Amino acid sequence: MDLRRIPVNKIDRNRENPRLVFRQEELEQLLESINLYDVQVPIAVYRDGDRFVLIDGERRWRCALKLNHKTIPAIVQDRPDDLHNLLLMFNIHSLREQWDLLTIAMKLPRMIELITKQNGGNEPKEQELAEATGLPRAVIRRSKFLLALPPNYHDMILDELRKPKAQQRLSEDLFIEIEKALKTVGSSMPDLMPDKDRVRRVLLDKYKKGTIKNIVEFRKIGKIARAKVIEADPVRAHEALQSLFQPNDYSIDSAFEQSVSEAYFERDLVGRIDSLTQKLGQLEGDDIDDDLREQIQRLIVVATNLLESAF
Amino acid sequence: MKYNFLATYLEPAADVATNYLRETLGIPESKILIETEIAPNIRARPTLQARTKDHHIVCIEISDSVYPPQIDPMMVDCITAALPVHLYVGIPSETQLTAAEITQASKIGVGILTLGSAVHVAAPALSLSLIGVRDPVAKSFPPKHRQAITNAYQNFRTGDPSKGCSCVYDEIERLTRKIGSKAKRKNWWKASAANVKIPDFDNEKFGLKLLARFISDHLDISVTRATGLDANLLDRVPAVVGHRNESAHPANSKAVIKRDRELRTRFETATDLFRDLVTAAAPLNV
Repeated sequence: MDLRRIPVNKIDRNRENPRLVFRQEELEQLLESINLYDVQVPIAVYRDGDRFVLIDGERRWRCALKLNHKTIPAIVQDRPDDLHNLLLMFNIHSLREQWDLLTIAMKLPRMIELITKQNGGNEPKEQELAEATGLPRAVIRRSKFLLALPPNYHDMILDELRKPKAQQRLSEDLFIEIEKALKTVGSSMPDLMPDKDRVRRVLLDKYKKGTIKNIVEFRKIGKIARAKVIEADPVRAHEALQSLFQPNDYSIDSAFEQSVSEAYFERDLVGRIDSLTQKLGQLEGDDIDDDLREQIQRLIVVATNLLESAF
Repeated sequence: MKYNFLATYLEPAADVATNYLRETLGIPESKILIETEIAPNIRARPTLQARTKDHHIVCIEISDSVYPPQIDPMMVDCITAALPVHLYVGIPSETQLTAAEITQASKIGVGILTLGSAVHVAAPALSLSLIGVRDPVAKSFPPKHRQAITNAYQNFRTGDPSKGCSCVYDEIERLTRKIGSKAKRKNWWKASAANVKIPDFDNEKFGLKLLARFISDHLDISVTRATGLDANLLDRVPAVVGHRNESAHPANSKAVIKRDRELRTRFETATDLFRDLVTAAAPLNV
């Protein structure tokens, strides 16, 4: 491994680099800095004949090329094998700026293939993948949601990622939330999902039209599908989802309100009362000051009135 | 992938710009260079560049902002090297463009193209070999000369440097002839002029070199109180204006660079001389 300046035009991209999107605004910011101060952090490359292949620093290299720099500082390493090459890139980035999730997702099959080969045919488990790549397990899990999408959605996400951030609307998180919701519906009410992609398209259209206002709303779909768990009316929940999965103006909020909203409210209230009761039970007479006494008395009045009106 | 730096979402705009170069300037696609250096000493490689038939270089930097950071080093280096580069920023037509941005771009000589179903030149690009010329500052001249100086400067910057120089030469000649005519009318000559035929300063058949020499030799500056109107100043007139009839069509880019560099120096020298002449001749009220 040695550090030196190497010709910018003798450097090639690494075909294994998972990064697919280089944003103009980020590149221009970096270019401005390199124009003023040169490349301060060396890139990493390995030698390939009389040329060099990037391991780390594609954005710095692109900026140096754009600025017509003749050389760039580089750490020249030994040529890694395919798996090591890919792992190097994952580990470098897991400690720095995170890649777009889709780029990780698209490289996961290749990563699994190479590790499986190294393990003598045994496919790596999620934990093993996390350790090898330096990525948190949650990131791998979320990447798998994206990977499971049909290819046309990958193109759609990629098109979005290529736009300036301010213009992006269909984010990776949106698709992950939809997939999570559909997974829950698929396991709780499988008859609603004879054609998963049709439902996905309907939900996406509703999001684009603004019928669904933000991606957090998709979490309510899972809540509706789990109506039975919270002792809500499963028939009503089923009907609400059935309506929701049709191309109309019926929103997730409406479906939630008309099916399980009350049950969740009640469950939430019960949980809070239980927690409060436990806390009050831990108090002793000396702990009660005037403020607390006043609030407890208020609580007694409200609760007594409520119970009396109920009978 | 054709581009190393350009973001994918801007590639359609680059395609429109390529068509513009092909269809408007008649440049074959094979001659349009992508992210290639203009010259070894120029920082920043434009997204697109092509050489025109009149040996200029048209560069288009595709961006979604009117003034991306790579424009700065590119401009400074091209101006310093006096390269005949017409630099445009090509922005997608859906990008908001303010009047202030257009004015600012025009001021510094950067062109703006909006790229959509049609290409619109929001601001024309000036040759960077010419815009580096020193501003003669019209305000530093008396009001009656300001229009001429402004026109000369505009002509120079906007692509006709020979005409820019010519305008200044004409002003120098007009003033020199006026000085001579008035001196003749008022008989402000030294004794040395007594036995010499005084030329007709309004007659164009008398060349400027001869007239300037005559004034320099015989004007009695003690009478006129125009003490600055001495031989040192008047001898500069034929030296500067002597280049006025030199005009040649450059045969290649190198010749364009050489010509523009020379014209830049001549324009600056001529405006300096004109200012000195105006100042020195002020007591004559010509």
